[in-house]
Amino acid sequence: MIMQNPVLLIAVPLLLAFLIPVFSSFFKGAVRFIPVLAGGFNVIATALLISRASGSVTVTEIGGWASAYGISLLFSSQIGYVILAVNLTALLAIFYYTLNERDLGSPLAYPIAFTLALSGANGMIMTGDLFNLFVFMEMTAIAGYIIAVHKKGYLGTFRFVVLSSVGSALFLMATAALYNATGFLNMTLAGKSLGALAAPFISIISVLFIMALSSEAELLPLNGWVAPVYKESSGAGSVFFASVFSGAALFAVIKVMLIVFGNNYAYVHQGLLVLGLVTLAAGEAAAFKQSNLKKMVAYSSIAQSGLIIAAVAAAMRSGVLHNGLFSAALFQLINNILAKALVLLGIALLGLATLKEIGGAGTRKKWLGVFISAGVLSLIGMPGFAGFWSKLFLVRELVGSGMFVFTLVFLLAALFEAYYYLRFLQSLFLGKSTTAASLPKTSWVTTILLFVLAALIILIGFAPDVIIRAISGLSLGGVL
Amino acid sequence: MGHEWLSLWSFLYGPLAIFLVGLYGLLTQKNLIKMAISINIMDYGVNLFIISLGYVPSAEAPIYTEAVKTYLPVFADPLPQALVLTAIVISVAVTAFILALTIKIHSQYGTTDLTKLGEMEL
Repeated sequence: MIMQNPVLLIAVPLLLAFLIPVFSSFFKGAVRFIPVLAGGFNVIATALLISRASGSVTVTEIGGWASAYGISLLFSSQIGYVILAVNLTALLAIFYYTLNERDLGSPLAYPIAFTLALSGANGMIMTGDLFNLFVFMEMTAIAGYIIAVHKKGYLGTFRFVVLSSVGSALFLMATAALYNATGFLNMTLAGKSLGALAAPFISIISVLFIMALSSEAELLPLNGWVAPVYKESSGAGSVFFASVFSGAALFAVIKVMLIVFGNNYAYVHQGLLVLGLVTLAAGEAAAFKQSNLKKMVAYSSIAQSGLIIAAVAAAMRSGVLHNGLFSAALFQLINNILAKALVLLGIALLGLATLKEIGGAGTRKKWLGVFISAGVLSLIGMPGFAGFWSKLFLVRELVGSGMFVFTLVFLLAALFEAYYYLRFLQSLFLGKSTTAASLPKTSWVTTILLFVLAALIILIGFAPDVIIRAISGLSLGGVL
Repeated sequence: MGHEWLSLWSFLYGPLAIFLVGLYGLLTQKNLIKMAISINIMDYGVNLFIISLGYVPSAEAPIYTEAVKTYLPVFADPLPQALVLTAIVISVAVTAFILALTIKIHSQYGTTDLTKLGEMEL
C-alpha cells in the first residue's frame, strides 16, 4: 500500500511547499491552510508507519536503485518515534504561527519556509545517503534562515548563515573524501569499507563530519548563532529551532556516528564524548547567567544537545553499542523536543522577554502558567514528568557502566539547570512585574496547543515504560 | 617527478589552499560583503577539490555517444561532477540570501561594518 512508503513524509510537504506560490494567485485564502495540511499529514502518516513498522530497520530504495548507487531511506518503529516527536512539535508550531503570527512578515514566504523545513527535517532523519543528507541539511538551513528573519533579527541570522555555510563546506569536503576513499555515498556501505583505511584519515574525516553537523545540532564549535537567533526569532520560529531543527540534526549526527563510524574507533567516540561534555558544561554555565528568557532556553538547548551526544558517544565507546545507555539518550532527545517546544510556546504567548518583566505573569494567566511549569519541571527532571525518567535512566546506565566523571558532570549540570529554571518559575509565580503592559489575549485554541504538549509530557511521566520499550533496541534492528 | 608534484598541487593542495584563503577572509574581514565573497571563495575551493577527485588521466567526458559502440573509452567519474552541480546551485541560493540580508542590515543600521554593528547591537 502506498502509505507504507516513508518517502511521503518528505515528498508531500515538499510538493505542498511549491504549490503555495501557485495557490496564492488563485485562492489567496487557502495558503494559510497548506502548512497545517502538510504537518497534519505527516503526523498521521508517521503514526500509520509506526503501527506497521517492526523493530528492525527497513531500507526503502528510492526509484528502485540499489543502495550502492541510489538513495535509500531508513525507517523503523524507533526512528518513527523521533519523527513523530519532531513532526508533532512542528505541527503545533505551525498552528501557533497560523493563529498568532501570520501578520508578522510576508504571508507567502513563511508558510513556504515552514513547510520546506518540515520536509528537510524528515529527510535528515531518514536518509541513508551522505550526499542526500547534505542536500536536506542545506534545505533545512535555508528554510531556517528565512524563519530566523521573521522578526527582523538580521544580525543573528547573518551569523547563522556564515557558520552554517562553513559547516556545509566542511561536510561536502568530508563526503567527497569519503567517497573517493571508499567508493560509496551510502552510509552503511561506506562504513563497512572504512576499516581498510588509515586511522589518521578516519579521524580527520570524522572531525570534519562532526564540525559540519555541529552548526545545526547546536554543538560546539559552530553554535555561536544559537542565542542571538533564538532571542530575535518569532514564537513559532524558536520552536522550529529548538525542537524541529536541533532534533533532526542531532539524530543525523547520531546516525552518521553509528552507521559510518560505528565500528571500533575508540578515538572518534572518545573525542565526541569530550566535545559533548564540554558543550554541556559551557551551555549550562552560559544559561545560568542569562536574564533574557529565550537566550536562557537557547543555552540550555545547547547544553542538552551536548548531553545527548555525549551519552551516545559513551554508549558506542566500547565498540559494542550499549543498548541501555543509547535508549536513554534517545528518550532524553524525545523529552527534550517536547518540553522545549512547550516552554518556548508559553514564553511566546506571554510576550515578555526577561526574567524581571515576567514577574507574576503566571498568576495572571493561570492555565498558561500551569502548562509552562509542566514543561520546565520536565526539563529539570521532576518526578511525575517525562524528563525525570530519561534522566534517571541516564544516571542508572552511566553508573552501571562505570562512567563516574560523566555522571558527575551530568549531575552538576542538572543542578545548575534546576537552579536557573526554578528561578524562572519563582519569577513567573511570585515575582512582581516591572512593566505595566497588559498581557496579550490568548485564545482558547492556542491554549489547547500547550495543553496537548503538557498532557503528553505528563502521560509519558506516568507511563515511561511504553516509550522506553518502544525506542529501546534501535541498535539491535540491523542497519542502525 | 616534476609532473607528480604538479598534479598533487593542482588536485589536492591547490583547492585546499583556495578553501583556506576563503576561511582566512571569513575570519579576518569586517565588511559583510567581503565576508560573502570569502564564503564564495571557500565554496570554490571545495568544488574544485571534489571535481579533481573525479579526475581520471586522459579520460573522456562521461557521455554515452555513438562512438562508444566502436571502442570502449575511459570515462571520468561522473558522480563528483553531479555533486558539484548541486553544490553550486545551493551556494548561489545562499549567496543571494546573504546579499539580500546585507541590504536589509545596511538599510536598518546604515553600515556594513561588523565592528560598528557589534557596538550598535550591544
